[in-house]
Amino acid sequence: MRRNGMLLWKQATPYFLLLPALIAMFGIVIYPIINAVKMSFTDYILWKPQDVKFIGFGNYVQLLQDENFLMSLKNTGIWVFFCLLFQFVIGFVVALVLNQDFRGRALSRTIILIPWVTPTVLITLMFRWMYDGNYGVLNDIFYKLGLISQYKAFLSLAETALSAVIAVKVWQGIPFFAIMILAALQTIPKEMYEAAHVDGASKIETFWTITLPYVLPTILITTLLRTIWIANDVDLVYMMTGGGPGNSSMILSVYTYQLAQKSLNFGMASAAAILMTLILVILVMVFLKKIRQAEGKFE
Amino acid sequence: MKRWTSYGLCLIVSLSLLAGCGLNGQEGKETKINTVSENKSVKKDDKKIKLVYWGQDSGDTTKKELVEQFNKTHSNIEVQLEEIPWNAQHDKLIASLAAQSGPDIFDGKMIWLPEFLGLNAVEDLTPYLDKWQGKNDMIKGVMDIVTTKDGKVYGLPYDLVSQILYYRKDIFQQAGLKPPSSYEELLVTAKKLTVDSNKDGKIDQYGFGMRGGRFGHETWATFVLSNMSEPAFFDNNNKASFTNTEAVQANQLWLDLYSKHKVVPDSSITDSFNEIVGNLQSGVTAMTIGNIKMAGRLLPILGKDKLGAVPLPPGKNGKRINFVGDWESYLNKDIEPEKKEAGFTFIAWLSEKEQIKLWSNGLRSVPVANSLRNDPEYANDEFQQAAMLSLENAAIIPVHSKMGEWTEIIWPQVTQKALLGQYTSQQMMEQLSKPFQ
Amino acid sequence: MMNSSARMIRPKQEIRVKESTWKFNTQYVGVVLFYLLAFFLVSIALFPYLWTFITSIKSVSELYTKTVTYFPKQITFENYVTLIQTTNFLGSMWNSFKVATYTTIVSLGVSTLAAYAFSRYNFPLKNLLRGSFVIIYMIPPVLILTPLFEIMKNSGMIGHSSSLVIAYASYTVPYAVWLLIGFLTDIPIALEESAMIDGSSRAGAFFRIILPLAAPGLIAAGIYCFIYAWNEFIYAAMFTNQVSRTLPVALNSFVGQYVIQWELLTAGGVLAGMPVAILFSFIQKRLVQGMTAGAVKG
Repeated sequence: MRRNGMLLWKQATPYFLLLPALIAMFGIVIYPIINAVKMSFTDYILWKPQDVKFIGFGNYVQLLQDENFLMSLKNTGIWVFFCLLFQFVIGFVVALVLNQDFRGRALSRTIILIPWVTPTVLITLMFRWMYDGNYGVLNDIFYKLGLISQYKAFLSLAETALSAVIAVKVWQGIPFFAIMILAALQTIPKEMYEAAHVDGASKIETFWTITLPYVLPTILITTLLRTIWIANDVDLVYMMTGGGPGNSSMILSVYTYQLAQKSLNFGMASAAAILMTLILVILVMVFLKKIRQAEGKFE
Repeated sequence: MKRWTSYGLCLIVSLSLLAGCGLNGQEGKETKINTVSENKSVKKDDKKIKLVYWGQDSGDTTKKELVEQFNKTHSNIEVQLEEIPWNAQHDKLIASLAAQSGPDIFDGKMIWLPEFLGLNAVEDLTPYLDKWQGKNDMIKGVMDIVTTKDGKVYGLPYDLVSQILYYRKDIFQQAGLKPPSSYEELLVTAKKLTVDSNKDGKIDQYGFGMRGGRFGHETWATFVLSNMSEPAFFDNNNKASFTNTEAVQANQLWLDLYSKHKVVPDSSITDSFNEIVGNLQSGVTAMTIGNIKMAGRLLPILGKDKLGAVPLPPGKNGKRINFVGDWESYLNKDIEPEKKEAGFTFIAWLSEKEQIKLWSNGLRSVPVANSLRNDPEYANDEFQQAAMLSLENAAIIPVHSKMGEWTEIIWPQVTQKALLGQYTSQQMMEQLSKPFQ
Repeated sequence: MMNSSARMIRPKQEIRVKESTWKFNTQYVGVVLFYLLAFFLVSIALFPYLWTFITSIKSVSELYTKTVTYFPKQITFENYVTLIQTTNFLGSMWNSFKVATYTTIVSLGVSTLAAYAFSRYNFPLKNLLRGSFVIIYMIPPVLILTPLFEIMKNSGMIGHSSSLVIAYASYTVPYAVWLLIGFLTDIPIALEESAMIDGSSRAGAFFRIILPLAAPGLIAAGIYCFIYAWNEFIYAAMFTNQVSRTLPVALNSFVGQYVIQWELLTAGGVLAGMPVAILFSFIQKRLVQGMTAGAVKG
């Protein structure tokens, strides 16, 4: 009897441990999610609460025919891919640098964090101003360095607007990757490096054979969650370009934000958000599989 | 290791206690405010009627001073001001009104009225107006603007802007030019002023500052409607009228400033208020169309020697077309009668002469009180003068239920596409009128 | 899942051969290059912040000029005085600090337990539950905003800092759980088991062995939670009032439709980053003290 009770107790332990986390997450978002799915099949406009009709897949069909939606779909792909790529590569380099012993290391670690802790509203306004085509400091620097032959209004040109915003997002996101990878680097037992050193492996070799495989799980998880985070980011793009000029820097999250908060078209906004979530789910599935594979390597 | 853990635990415990104390202390303070907005019943023993007011952030202390003054002079009412940042104002207002937890009184843009009405959140002020003396002091036309088609008034205007033509006196003087008095002249002058002023081989001064970014529709509408002989935003059937040939041609003139004549900076396509102001301040542009608030920003920096303004040139029909409008105060429909009375007392007070005078100071707004028009402070001011002259015979863009979406999303997107060359003038106008079909 | 000795390096004999004269030169060049790289990275991170600082000590008339001035003609710290004296900026900063601290504590506590469960137990629905943490994370905040507002309103929490902590936790917990799973999995079960054989309880082993060893992960996740709560604007603007206003909302209040109070905004921006940076400078050592806790890392 008592043994059975113990067993039951033991089996229940993980669920008990999980309970607070599940409450913290689901408690808040489960109702909004169900609500969103429901709304996406209606023509719900916030200021017309009287006449809400069920319209089936109407919103979805309309979205897939909207050139702005398709454009923002494409832009979201570019946005997520390049933000991630550069944040990751530069973040990795920063982490490796900060993991070394050198003069001013503590100070450098603190400074590296600054882009991440600066409030977005300030970042957007400062960069808008630094990018300005008439008196922006970046134009001045690039011009003096001979990188451009004349001042460019980076945020006003269809070719450069998205890249300019991506650059800012990369700048803002590097510390995140740097810190996460720096933390992951600490899990590598020092003895591994010592053994490799005794064996005479070069630094580059140890990087590929020890460092990278060890931090790979963290990298994959960080990248996975960062993908979602970047895809959902609204503030930066909305405040810097508003998706413009035209729709050349429009991404899905901003598109959805505008539908929800400016058009107050909650039906359509929900449909757009759900489409985006579906796309992300597929991406995440692929990712999770990779993570399992990476973990499997160690088993 | 053990030491680390105990340190960590101590830190966590102490921090949480600290935070807990802080949070509690704050909640204590907040309950005051919350009881007002949520507990709708006014206690009998407490004679003071408390009102929550979400005001427009004035960027200085003016709004606070006004509210303090009101509370001092009205012993039975207490207005509690909360200034909402502009970036969050619309969204926060709509979300809380939709959840029926909005403030008792709130400031809002005129174009948001249809949304407020849809949410059934604003009180009809028409019955209150008869008792209000100040109504007769409102300048001509203003009450017409805020009266809806069925003859009702929902918000009282206290902050009115109209567009004027700004120019850099120093640049004009140097070039021996006078500010233009017609739209044809405007183009000619702008061409003359688009030069390479420091002779380094690139244009660094443009004749005109154009606004293709958010809320640029105000100057766009002014420009386009002025170039139509029968300027109208909507036809008699309340449908958009800017797809007719004349409107498309007028729009072409506007697009040409950027794409053909190149008399505006490259950044115009996405420039919004701050960039327009910055360009005029730095001398990147020599002229621009903007509202009265621009003078408030620039005058302290440039001075009256360098900054000048004239009324907008008359349009094709001889009248000065103008985009009028800005902020009104509204009353929440969802509060009980005593509070509504008190709330109306407050918003009416805000639109009365003395308060309008305080608010319009520093060129924040055109005074909406008639009795202020001859006040030397305004009558002798070049900018206020120009603004008031532009206001006469002003045609206005009507308030339409799609206007919020149109201004925030459709106009900037469609216009920028046209400026990028993705739309012709005809296509642009068709896209712009789509929501109003 | 254990990897302590799984990946030993197979030595390659050839690499050992190195010429001593070469070594000195390459090392020297390497050090210089390293410092150059470090300097470059640091200056890229710092430049916009530095530019903000320079702007904050400029007078307003110097802000928009045709030629860029890198150093202000007149240095003035008046903007900082104005900011602190005329606005409740420090109060907002304190609010942000409280919200961020609370969010961090709540998220870390909750997530560590969850991550421990995922890394040490096998149970039905494990993968499904683990996956659900990511799915939740994917819902765009925009969509949650309005219904969440209603929930908060019905529970009377609008205007209270606690509403923010709850809203933020739903975003920080999934990330912290996933990150910590990785770190906890890396800690050999053998360590825990030997402690338990020595008479320690499971909980005791958790506190004495697991937590200190997972310190880098905990700190990294903690930094994430803290900074997220510190900088979040959309929820903060919705759920706070004048009293409970947090830092991003306070900064946003300097940005009007027609007026940007650059002097206050930049001064506020410079101050905004500081507490977190200072806090981090204290804990950054912990971040790089992991598996070899106690030993000095090279």
